[in-house]
Amino acid sequence: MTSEEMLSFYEKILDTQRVWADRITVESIIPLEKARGKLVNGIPLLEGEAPAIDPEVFREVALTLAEVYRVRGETIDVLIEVDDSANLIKRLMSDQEACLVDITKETGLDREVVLTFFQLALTPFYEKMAVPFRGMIEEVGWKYGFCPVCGATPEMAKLRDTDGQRILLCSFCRTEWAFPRIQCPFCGNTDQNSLRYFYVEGDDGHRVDVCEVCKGYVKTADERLLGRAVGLQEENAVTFQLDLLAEQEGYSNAEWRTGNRE
Amino acid sequence: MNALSRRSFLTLTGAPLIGSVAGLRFGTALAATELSHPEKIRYAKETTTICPYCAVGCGQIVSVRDGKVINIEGDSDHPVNEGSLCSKGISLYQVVNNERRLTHVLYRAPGGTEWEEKSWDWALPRMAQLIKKTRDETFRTTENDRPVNRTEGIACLGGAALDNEECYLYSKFARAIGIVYLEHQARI
Repeated sequence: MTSEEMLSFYEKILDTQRVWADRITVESIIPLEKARGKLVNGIPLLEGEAPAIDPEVFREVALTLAEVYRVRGETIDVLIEVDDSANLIKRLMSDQEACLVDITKETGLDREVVLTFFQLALTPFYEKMAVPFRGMIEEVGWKYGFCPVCGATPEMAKLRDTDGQRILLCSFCRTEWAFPRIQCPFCGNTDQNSLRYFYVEGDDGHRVDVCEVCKGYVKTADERLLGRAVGLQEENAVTFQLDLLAEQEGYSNAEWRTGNRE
Repeated sequence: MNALSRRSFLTLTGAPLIGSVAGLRFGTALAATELSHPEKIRYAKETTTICPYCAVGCGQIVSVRDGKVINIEGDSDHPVNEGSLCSKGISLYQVVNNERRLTHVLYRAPGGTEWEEKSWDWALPRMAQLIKKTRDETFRTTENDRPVNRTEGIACLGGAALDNEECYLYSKFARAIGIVYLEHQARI
């Protein structure tokens, strides 16, 4: 697979997700006052809440995404048919790890593939749930390295054009929030001697911030150096080579992503 | 680490699933040639500092690669300036990297019209000798029968690009030899 094919595929995925995020409706997950209280105390909004996801809509979203996969020659429908939609959501929400192990076994697909597909199908719902709280998150000044809405780790960052502020993008619900420049969002390390970044010569608008303590990394796009506004989701896709380079350099977010590290 | 500094998404009800862009690779790895060659990778690091120029005390981030300063910018996380800098502060980079910066001693003899290049081995002892000479010639131990132990023959002016520690040593030195006209431009 070439980079171009990879990017065109991911573009279609993003488009599909966007269309669905616009179309679906979700119930308000939490009253505004309660939400504020949680954010002030450093608790992600979804913690302890039970978001309602319509199984029928979920199935439709999954089918549309599977169509995108099919165009690329990958058949993924088996993941949708593995269980009744309502049941599938219930399993994913309750004992996620067991569910993933089972489905991986049943379908013979790679665990990462299973995980990614369900994530892609669920993201539009969570993205929609997060929308009403965007202003509040900025106002409260959430200063943690995990997402204020869903608690997931960040996948991409940008340095904002106006002031160089670092903005993180949640790898799951796509919430964006400001975070200190010289701090590892994963382990909280602030020691300037064990934080650094690398970039590929000739492309200094993109870089990878790495932490020598936890070996975590986050890709960063600098709007000032790129001379344009950065859409974090798209930038995350077009910079996937940096993910591979980060792996080559010995950095990984896998442990953080999969929750195997505290 | 603060208990609140990190929460696993797995502890959430309705836990999100975190796959990744990498999960889209399906094991169909990219052709090796498409990956940047590691030799082209450059590492740099960022450290915070305070602008040396004025009393506002703006925060700055200094980027260093291979021991050389490659960028200085306003610190967006600093409460004083939130990323912004004045035209002077933003040009601090030029204090370090500047083709017009003198890198050797230039000497113009008394009454002379030409500059000549000298070594530090020549300049430092000469400066010390002249300071000593002026100080000894103008040093006063008393005034109106009161001990003063000072020289009014030398004035000392600190530069804004000196940091705290350098200024501290500089003022100690000046006071030690009896200088009372001790000034500095910065007011931080």
